[in-house]
Amino acid sequence: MDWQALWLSIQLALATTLILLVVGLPLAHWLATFQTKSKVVLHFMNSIEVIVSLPLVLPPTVIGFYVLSAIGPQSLVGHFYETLTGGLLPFSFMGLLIGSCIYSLPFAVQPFLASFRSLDQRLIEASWCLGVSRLETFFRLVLPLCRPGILTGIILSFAHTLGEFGVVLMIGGNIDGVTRTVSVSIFDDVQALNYLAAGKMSVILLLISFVILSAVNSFQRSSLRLWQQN
Amino acid sequence: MATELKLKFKIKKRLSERFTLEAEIQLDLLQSPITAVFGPSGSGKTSLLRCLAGLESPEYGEITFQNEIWFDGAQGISVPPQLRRIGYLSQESKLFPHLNVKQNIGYGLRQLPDKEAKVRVSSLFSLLKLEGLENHSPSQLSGGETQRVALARTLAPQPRLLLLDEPLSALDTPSRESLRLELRRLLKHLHLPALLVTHDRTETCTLADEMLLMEQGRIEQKGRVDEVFRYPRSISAAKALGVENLFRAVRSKETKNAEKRGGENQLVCIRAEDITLTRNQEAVPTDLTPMVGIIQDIVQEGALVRIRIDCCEVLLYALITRASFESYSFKNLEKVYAFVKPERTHLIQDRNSVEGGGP
Repeated sequence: MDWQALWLSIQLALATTLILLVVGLPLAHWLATFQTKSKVVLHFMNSIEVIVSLPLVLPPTVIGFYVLSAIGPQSLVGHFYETLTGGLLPFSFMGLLIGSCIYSLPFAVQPFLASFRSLDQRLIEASWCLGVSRLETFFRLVLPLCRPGILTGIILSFAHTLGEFGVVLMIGGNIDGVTRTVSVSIFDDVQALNYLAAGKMSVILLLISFVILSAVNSFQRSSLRLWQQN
Repeated sequence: MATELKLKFKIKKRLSERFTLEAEIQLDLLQSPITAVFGPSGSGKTSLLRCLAGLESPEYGEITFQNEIWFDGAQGISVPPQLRRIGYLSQESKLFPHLNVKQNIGYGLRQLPDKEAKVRVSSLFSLLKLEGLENHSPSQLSGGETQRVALARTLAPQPRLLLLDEPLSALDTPSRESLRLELRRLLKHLHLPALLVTHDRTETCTLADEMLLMEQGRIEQKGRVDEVFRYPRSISAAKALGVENLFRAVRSKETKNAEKRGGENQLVCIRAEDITLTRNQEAVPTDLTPMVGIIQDIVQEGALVRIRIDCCEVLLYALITRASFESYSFKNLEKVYAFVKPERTHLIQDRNSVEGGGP
């Protein structure tokens, strides 16, 4: 059993989830609430929404290929990272993290967006008219009421990152303790005909996925209850 | 105490392809604290109120409250709703579903010290008779209770101006009637200026001192409630106010009044409730000429009865109390005499085309 690979996957999933929470919440809120009459801005927002959703349909190897090209030492990002830290992004944990964030972005943003969009605008307006600022309204009203959707987004991005394979292999390769995640480790075990180890690790992933999906289901049920009350 | 409290606005906002809200008015809120914005559905009342609340922005114009500029299109000023210190209560108020009644009412009091906020919340509980509901969740409340809690929540931060958008229209009749009286008591008690959007005549008469009549995005008429209902200024105003009987004025030999006031391009407005019906011609006062007609239809409307009478091809609508209907026991196709006191009729100039007949 490659515990190191499991631990690395969990670290990657946690870091990705945290970043997606920080980036995804404002992005989804902006997409859900920004109002404009300008057609250009509207088209721009639609494009952003499409780009955010692209990883849902693109093959992971294609995403991996583009991310690898974008963070390579010849690229602007890769060059900047190299001057800053002296290291390279491809085949590093940091490179994996960038790939994971892009790959799992729709799994966070879509549930956030759906819950922000389903929130009754009249509640928000009532809060503003009571003298409560937009930021405070977001924390006191929007976040608690959208909690089920936000938790769903968090859990889905965690689960999705935990099981990713194609993007990881393209960007990170298979370096023990650095980029070998649990799914790569299972693939390795199967290649080496070590079915017992592959089976054990698969059961662990299966159990984790089961628990996670049960949690998502129960959040969605409570979301429905809150919506009905509302 | 301030000697004047003025709300001035001159706004223009395109609401759809064919419809523009264009309103200009100055209200003295000390003299007439409660102003009803009355008009049919889709006349732009709610949009006007939302512009005043800061929830929507007009395309052009200015809004000032006392000496504060809330909106100035030319200077690009638009004060957000948070800083206008108004109370806005919408038609179907939404309570915050994740908070209980007490937390809902105290929601806007974050800036106050805890002790002061508690005192204010509990005083609102007794003012609006909400005791016992403190820990209820919004889903446990009836429609009337929800609206009372929403009103308490609106009053909690002590707004300077209340904007009420059809606050009673989503309620069932008994709750609406009791809350209407409560609202009247409350508004008088608090001396709080308010703008009340409504399409209900009873609500306007019970609650407001002054009214703005809105028609197709414009303020058609402004004045004291009884005056506006009695003396509509135009045909569209009369129709918006629900004047049932609107006839072309005819010059008679005896009186040349119609001619003096503008000839035959005039219409006579008579409210259905001002028409008296009788079976005996002797009961008609001698100085009045009655109209003779046949009852075509009798409709019971709760405490009132609406009767349609065919008077030689002119349809006349009369509204009498149930008690007087029962004492006369009028029947369909019966001949009746209808008369109205001259002071209960009102002449309006027909600026456009020839119109007439009932609704």
